[in-house]
Amino acid sequence: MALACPETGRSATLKADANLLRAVFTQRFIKYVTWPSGRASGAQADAPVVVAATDARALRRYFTRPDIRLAQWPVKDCQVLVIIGTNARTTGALLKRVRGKPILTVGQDPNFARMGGMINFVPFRGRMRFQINIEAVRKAGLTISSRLLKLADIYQENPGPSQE
Amino acid sequence: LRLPLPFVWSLLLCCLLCGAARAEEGENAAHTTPDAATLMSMDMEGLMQVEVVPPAGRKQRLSNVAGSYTVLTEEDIHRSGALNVPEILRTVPGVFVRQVDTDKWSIGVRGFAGTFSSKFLILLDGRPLTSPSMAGVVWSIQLMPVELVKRIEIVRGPWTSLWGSDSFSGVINIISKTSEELQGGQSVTAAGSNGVSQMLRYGLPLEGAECSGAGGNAAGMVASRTAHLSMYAKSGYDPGVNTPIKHDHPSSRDWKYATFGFRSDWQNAFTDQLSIQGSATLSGIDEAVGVPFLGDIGLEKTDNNAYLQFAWDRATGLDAGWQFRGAFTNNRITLSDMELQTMRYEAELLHAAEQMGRHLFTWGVGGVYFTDRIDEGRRVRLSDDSYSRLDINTFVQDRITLLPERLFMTLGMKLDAFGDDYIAPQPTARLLYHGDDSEYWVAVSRAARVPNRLNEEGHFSTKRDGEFYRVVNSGDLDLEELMSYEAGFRHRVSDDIKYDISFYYDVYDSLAALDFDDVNRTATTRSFLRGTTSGADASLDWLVRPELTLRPSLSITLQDFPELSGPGQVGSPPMDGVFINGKLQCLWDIAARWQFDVLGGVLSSESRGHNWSNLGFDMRLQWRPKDNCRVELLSSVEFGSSDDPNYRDPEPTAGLRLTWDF
Repeated sequence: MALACPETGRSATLKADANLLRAVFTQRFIKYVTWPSGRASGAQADAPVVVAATDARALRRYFTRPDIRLAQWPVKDCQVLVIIGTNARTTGALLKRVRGKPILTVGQDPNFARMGGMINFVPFRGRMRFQINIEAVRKAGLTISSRLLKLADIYQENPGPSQE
Repeated sequence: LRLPLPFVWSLLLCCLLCGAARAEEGENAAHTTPDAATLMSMDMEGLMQVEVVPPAGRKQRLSNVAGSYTVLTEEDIHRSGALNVPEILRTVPGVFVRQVDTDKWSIGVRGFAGTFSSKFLILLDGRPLTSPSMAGVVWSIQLMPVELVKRIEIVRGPWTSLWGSDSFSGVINIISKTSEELQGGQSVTAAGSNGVSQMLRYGLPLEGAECSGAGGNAAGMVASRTAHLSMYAKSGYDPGVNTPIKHDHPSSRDWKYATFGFRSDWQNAFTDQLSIQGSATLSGIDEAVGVPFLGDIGLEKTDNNAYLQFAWDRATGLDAGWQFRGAFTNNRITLSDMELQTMRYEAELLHAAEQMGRHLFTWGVGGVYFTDRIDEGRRVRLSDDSYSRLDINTFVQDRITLLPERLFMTLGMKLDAFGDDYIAPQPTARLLYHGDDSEYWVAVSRAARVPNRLNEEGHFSTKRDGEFYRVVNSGDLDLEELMSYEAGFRHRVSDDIKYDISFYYDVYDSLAALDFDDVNRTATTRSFLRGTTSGADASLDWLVRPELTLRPSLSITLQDFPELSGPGQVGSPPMDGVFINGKLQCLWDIAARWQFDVLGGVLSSESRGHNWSNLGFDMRLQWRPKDNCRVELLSSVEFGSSDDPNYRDPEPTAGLRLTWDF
């Protein structure tokens, strides 16, 4: 994305820290997800949506919305789990721990979707893209809006020949 | 000040190349950094166009450790210009490193510096490199190529509650790359005034499944394979003519070495990793210095080392999991008519439970069985020419959250049982306050260690004031003890600047040392030495510009061991005086394909009326003509002064290193 820089007149590229982008994306994802209880985006819920993170400190300063509460994992109850700053095996263990529960899992690992994660951040040409594992979302009883799916790369565990 | 010619030429060449490289550099594109509110107001399509700040725009991070702690990353290791592990450690604040002979390095933490320094622990992937018999590290057989090192963690101060009794004044934990990180081939050739060396490594996948996302797009990545193998071989020759050595006899000559190693890692069910690694090393040299107590020169020395290690690591949650490690190590040192062979079998099991309320428990059990056999020569004799001992240990640690995300207390205890003779409880209490941009910590620890085999049973001769003394052992040595009081704080001033300051006051008791009898010309090993070590370490990490990083540091150590009388002590006795070590590391990315790094260091010591000071520079210039090729010019020079009439400046060195990935 380019903005005009008033001092130089040249176009300026928007750049942001990876954690800031992950935090913003995560908060925006909530708007497009429906949980089995019918709760979506926390808008009609009395209590805020709880986002648990493996490194909550790294994201704390970017979570300012009152309808979303950031907590350090482990927590008893949460709607979203953000797995960042962990090694692949820890990521695998955490995904195993919440498998089948109505918790939206967000992370960044080449094997994240393969391990059963739902939304995986994928750096691509210096930008942040994301990949969605629809099967994992469905098994957890969550629903993701088609608008978000259109923007995402869809992960398929066993892509058919037509994919090529 | 006399500037040696090779160093001058290297410096001039670096300046010329730096200027040329700088001229090549283009202008950076302008960019704007938005805040969270701005990004939150953007739509998803807009967010997907925001560029991610690359890791090169590295932000300063605090370590979240209640202790004096430094981590060297893969990039730090590469940019140190080091050709071996001891040289890497020169960049670390508070760690004193000096090459004292062609194949020997003196490394010290918190004042205990010496070739046979026995007061800190050095680990390679969890396996101690410290010799169980001599308590020091024989570096001539620890030849892992630096290109295979992933990370080095340095802990200053006692962490015996976690690492055990050898970690008296610190722990240096070397972590190697997994075989998955060593895929493909690499050739590293080094040649210069310090000889030549060649390293080759190759890694390949063994088995695994692949999967892909929607084809051809960003998510169409290939998942990693699940089993990998890597192998390496390295050999080299060092004539030994440039080694800094301050004695009046020449350094050891004609060092020849060769090493071969492998590592295989297998990942299963995403949470488990099995690793097998090993190496075999052969080293030979015309020994000039020998070991201090031999008092002779012109010996032939050969060292052999082989080890095999198996490790299993299962993650069960955040900071939680099981680890098992088993290893066998075989060392053989032949020095003239003496041969020492040690074999070490070890196993340990660790479990880190997941956070339970306020508590995060870690516990472990381990055992080490070691045996040694000595074919005594005419210079050294031990009470028993073969020896074996079984050491058992267990530890438990609880990290208690006093204030969520802010205040933590760590209580730990390790119990070491050394054979049938010694049991050493080693408790610690640590408090860490984690602010938004700062950390404060205090720690109190008790440590204990068993005297090494040479102290307990050695019979040999040592030289003091020109006279030889016959060393005998008293046969009833006590555990060496330490009470340590530490405090420190770290502060991140901005994304570009952080500093770290720590203070310590260590009280030692019952250290083994030689008690000299001038009448009978004997020296008896006794547990009589007591004293204190106090000091401070301060370091700054400043990203001055995106292409320039400065890392100054200063360490001051005061050692007070009044009962230690004069020279002749075996191993690495403490000083009785002041030791100051200042460093400045400058890392400069001159242009896209050029880097220029300098490490300057000042050392000054005053002990028992003897003064010694040293100023040294290590320089590295890198040119990357292609993405898979690096050429480095490495050079170093030292200037010293001492009231020792035999002192002489070491010769400057210069060399080239060519790295090719294929």
